[in-house]
Amino acid sequence: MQIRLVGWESRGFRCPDIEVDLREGGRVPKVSLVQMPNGTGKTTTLNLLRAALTGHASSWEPERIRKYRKQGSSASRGEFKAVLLVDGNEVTIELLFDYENGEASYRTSHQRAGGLLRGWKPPSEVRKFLTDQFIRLFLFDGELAEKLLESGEHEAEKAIDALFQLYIFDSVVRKAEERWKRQTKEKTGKTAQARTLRQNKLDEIDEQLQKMKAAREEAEQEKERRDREASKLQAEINERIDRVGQLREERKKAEAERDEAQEKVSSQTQELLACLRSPEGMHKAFSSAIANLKGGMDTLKLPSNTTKQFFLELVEQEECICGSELDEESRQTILDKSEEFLGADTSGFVNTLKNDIGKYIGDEPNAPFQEAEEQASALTEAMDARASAESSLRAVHQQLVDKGDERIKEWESEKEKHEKKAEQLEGLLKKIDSSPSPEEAGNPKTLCLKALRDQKQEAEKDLSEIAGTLKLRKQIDILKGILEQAQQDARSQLKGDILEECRTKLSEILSFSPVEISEISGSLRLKGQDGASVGQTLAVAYTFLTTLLGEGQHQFPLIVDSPANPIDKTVRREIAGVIPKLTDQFVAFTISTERPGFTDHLHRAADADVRYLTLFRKNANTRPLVSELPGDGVQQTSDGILVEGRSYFEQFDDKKIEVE
Amino acid sequence: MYFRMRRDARNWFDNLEGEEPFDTAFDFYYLCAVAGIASGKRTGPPEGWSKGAGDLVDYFPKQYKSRSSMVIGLLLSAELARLGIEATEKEEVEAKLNNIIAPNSPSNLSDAGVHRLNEYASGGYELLVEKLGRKPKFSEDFLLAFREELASAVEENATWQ
Repeated sequence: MQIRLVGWESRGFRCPDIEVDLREGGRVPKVSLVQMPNGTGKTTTLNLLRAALTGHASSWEPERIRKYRKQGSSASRGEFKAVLLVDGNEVTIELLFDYENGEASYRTSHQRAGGLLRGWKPPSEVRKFLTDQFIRLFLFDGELAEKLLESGEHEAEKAIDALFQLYIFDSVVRKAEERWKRQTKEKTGKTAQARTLRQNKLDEIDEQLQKMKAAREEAEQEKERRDREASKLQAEINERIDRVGQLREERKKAEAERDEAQEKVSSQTQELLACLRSPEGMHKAFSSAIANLKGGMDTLKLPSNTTKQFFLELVEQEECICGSELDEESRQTILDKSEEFLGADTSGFVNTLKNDIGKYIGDEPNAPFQEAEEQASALTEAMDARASAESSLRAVHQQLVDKGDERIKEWESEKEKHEKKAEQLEGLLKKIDSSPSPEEAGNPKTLCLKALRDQKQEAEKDLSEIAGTLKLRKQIDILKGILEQAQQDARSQLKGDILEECRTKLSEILSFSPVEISEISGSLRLKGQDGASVGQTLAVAYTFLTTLLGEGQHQFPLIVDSPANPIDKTVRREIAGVIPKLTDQFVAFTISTERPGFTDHLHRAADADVRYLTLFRKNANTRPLVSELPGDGVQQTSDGILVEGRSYFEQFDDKKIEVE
Repeated sequence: MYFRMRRDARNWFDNLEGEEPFDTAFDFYYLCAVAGIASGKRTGPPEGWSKGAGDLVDYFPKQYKSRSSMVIGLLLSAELARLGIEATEKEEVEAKLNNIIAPNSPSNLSDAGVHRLNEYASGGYELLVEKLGRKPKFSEDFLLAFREELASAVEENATWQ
């Protein structure tokens, strides 16, 4: 499917009344640039466009609707019309605001409708793309660009899910579960009461499971945020310290010593535990006692050559070894006495025990304990060294504080708060992710997710059993497993493909300030860097979104507010060169300061297939501009002026707009 | 039969579980058992073994395999000392060996032997809580404190003098 934005018309809103047609010569060009000075109503226009395309304005509060009324106007209505081309067919969505009643309504027209329809009713095949989630991918939102790269956010993965409709897997699972619930409810089961009890139990467990999933996600995001904040503060502290040259060196040295000391503590702890895992290393008294045990057994000549087996075999004979005949009584006596001897296997173990005692304790019973003592001393020393290194590091910070640097003190205190909170959240996450103890296994209020999942499975099985829907339950579980795997595989494959494509494109766009996406994990993770400059963020976001939109079977426009404003000239040039390659229709709302280094490169890269429009308010402040309008290509309304053409676009100077 | 650890004991160690250098929950069981053997304290969970404890394993994990006979040797020594049996009293020593050892079991300990060790682990946990108080937070601090308390327990127990 191919979707193009043809244009829009606006009457009765805060922005100028105007009709904007992006077509030129009957066709939609590759690039459309709509230059609007600040305050002309770009944000209003984009909001109305978004509202028209999603159909959501009908649920807006009256207050919100009335805010769109033209200032100083008593007009009772506002009308916004968005025109799309869907596979070459025109689709018009009209958004009507009734300011008196504070209501919004829609009308739609397209070829299949055969006329104007009341309500928001675009053709069904395009409707699934006109959702909030999806629209923000091509009706570009600067905030989205930041969120795509923000760790803890999941916008990048959500974008992939939205475009490739991976939510369909979840929908199928939901439908299957609904079917099972319906069938379970319909069957009367063995007793209605028993069924109700089991259903209630299942509901209770499920509620807790959903709660803990949400709590986990929240805790994880919050912990990531806290860790990020603590890192940022530490970076600021370090930067501040580093500004004082001598302190920079001292800080680096103290940090290296602290890290080395920590390594030493870790390895010494490992060594000490290794010693303590041997009982003879625990205490001299233990190794003496074990050595005595061996000594005693040696004295007793244990294990003896005679084992219980000898007597057990003897009672099977007719005669004893002394030659006398064995009867029942004598056999019983032999058997009773045989209990005093060790079995053959036990004798074997006793030999092993004695050998091991000889091997590990030998002639020096105190040696293992001595080794443990040495390891303990070494550990204590390592801990002292670590404390000293930490103290030195603190002293470096303190030097700055003593010099009157209150900022460091504030940052340290704030950082500590974040670290403390992160630690608490770590504890909570540990509890949620832990393997269930037998105690938690049966507790429906447990925090442990695995325990809850297990309980839910059991409860579903119980309910199925009593409702006679066990077979269906099993089938649904198999289906769920397949769908979850399929979704995971699909997501993984898509992420891989998109990542490759993005890397290639980014290496072309940002050859001067290279950045590489290392993985897509919730958000876009950049290789070797935690954050990105504004230019890099925008470049990565454009590349990701256009790659994403291009990967699907469909073509979408890319509509951007101020595409080049925050970027420096070098990056502007590169982005301008690549945009026409990234998308088949690029619509940008620009201001005059974005032109240098951007629009001329964009013109060349798009092979001059560019429509230039300049829109500004018609009022007392813009009078100087009105006097310089060209002879043709001008549309004037009561409060707006739209001028077509590159020449006017390039020389438009919004500084001529008088400021009151 | 399984080595069993009290649930409250397992919770007490949860800051350390999964943290270096502890790579098996058996470490905590073992340390408690040795503390119990040192003090001579044998107990059970207040709510009984079936409700108050959970199974670990029924064998010595790989970290303890090579020293399992030494652990059994320590248990034997403790039991003989507790009963006042000299290592040279043949019948009594053999009877104890038959009681504690079961070479056909995964741990080489009989059910009675495992149960006895479980009781020492329970008693050892109570000792550690009494002496150390709050849940241990850092591995290095805990191990050093453990050694100190173990040494005190041995000193106070006439069995080891």
